[in-house]
Amino acid sequence: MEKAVLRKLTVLCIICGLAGIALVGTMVIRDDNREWKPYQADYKEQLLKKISRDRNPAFYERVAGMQPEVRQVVIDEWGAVDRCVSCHVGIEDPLFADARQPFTKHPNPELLKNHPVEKYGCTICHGGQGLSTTFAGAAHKSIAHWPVPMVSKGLMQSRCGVCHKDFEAIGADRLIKGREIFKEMHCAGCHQIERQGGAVGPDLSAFADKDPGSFTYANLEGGHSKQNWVIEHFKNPKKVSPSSPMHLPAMSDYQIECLASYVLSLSQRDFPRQYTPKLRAGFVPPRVDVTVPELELSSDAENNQGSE
Amino acid sequence: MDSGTNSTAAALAVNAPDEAADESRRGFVKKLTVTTLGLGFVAAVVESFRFLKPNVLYEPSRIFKVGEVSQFPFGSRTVIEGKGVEIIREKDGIHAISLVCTHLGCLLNSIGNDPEIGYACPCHGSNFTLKGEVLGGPAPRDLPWYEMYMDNTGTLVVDASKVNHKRTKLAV
Repeated sequence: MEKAVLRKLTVLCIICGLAGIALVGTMVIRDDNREWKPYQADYKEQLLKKISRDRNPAFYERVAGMQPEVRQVVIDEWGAVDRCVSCHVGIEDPLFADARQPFTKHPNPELLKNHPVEKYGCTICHGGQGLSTTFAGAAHKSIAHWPVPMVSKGLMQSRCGVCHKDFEAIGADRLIKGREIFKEMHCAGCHQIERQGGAVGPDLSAFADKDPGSFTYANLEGGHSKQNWVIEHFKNPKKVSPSSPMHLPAMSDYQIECLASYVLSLSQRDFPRQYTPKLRAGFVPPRVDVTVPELELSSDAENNQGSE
Repeated sequence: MDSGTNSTAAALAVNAPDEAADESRRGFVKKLTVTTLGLGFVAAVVESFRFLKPNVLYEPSRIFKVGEVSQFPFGSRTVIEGKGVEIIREKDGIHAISLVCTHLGCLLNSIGNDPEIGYACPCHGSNFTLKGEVLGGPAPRDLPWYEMYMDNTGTLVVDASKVNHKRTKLAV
C-alpha cells in the first residue's frame, strides 16, 4: 500500500478515536447533568435550614443524607408514573408554603388532603407528561397531540369533572356555569350527552377521552392541543372547522372557559372503586336537553307561561 | 488495528530519508492510538455496567407515609393495606414490621388471641412472635423490622428499603 494512503488511514483512525472519546465524554457529562439535580440539592439546603436537629434528629439525619434521585409516584390503577415530584419536592410540605417555584407547596391544601399525592399523583388532575423530568418535556408548554397537556388555570375544573359527576357537591362553579350555558344555548339540540339530545353534531358523551389526533388544527391559532381547539372553536366555530354548520353567539372569555371546562370534563373513563367519588343517594345528573317552548311561536303564550 | 497499520507503515518506510523524525512521530501516533482505544474501551465498559443499574424503576416507592401518630393509639396493631407492613405502637415507641413470610412470601395473619404467637402464615404454618422471631414452621429467618421516621409535618413514614437491624423503636 502507498505510504500516503497509510498515513491518511492512520489520521482517519486517530480522528475517529478522538471523536469517539469526545462523544462518550459528552454522554457521561450530559447524563450526569440533569435539570432536577440542582433543584433537589437546593431543596435539601433549604429544608436543612428550616428544621432543627434537636427536635427530630432521625428526620434531620435523613435529610442530611439525601442523595439526588428521580422521585416518582406510581399509580398502578391507571398506569401513571408521575415524576413531577423530582423538581416539585416541597409540594406537600407546609414549610415551603411561600417558597419559590418549583419548591412551593400546593396552593390548595384542602384539595391535596382529599387527593394525597402518594395516592393520586399529579397528572390525573393537572395533565402533562408525568414521566418527563425536564421543564419543557413535562408539558409545562403545550405539547402537540399529547392526550391531556398541562391544564391551564381557567380550565382546571374540567379535570375535576372527569371523576366527580356531582358538580354541586364539590362546588365546581365553572362546571355548573358551563352546564347551564350548554343548556341555555340548546347545544343538546344537535349534540348528544349520555343519550340526551339530538344527533346532528358529534356525540359529546366522551369528549374528554377523544384522541386529540382526531381534530383538525389547520385553521387553529396557538398550540395544537384539544383544550386550545375547544377554546378557539367556541370563539369562532366557522374559522376552526369551516365545514361545520355549528354557530354560536359571541361569549365572554369567562363563559367560553366555563363551557370548555364542562365539555372537556365529559368522560366515560372508569376508575377503580376506591378512586370513584361517592355520590349522594338518588343523584341524577341534571338534564341538559330541556326544551323550553318559544313563547312567540306558541298560540297560547299566556297559558304556557302560567304552567312553567 | 491502528498499531497494526503503524507497524506496516514502519516496515515500508525503512528507506525514508528523515527516519529519526518519522520514528518519533510514529511513537507519538502509537501512544495516541493506544490511549484513545484504552479510554474508549474503559468508558464503554463503565457505561455498559451503568445500564445494569437503572436510575429508577416503574414500581411504587418503598418509602411511604402511613399516617399521623394519633392514628396509632397505644397498644394498637395496624396493618397497612397493600404494603405488607404492620405498625405496632407500644408505650416505649412505635415500629414497623414486615408481614411477608420469610419462607415463600405469603402475607401473614396477625394473631391477637394468643400471647405466644404474633403472626401465623396461612400457607405453610410458620409462626412468629410479636417481635418477629421464628417460632416454628419452614420460615428460615425472623421478620425484618423496617426503618421508620417522622417527617416535619408529624406524619410517620416507613422506609421498607432499609431494614432496622437493631430493632429500635421510634420514640414518639
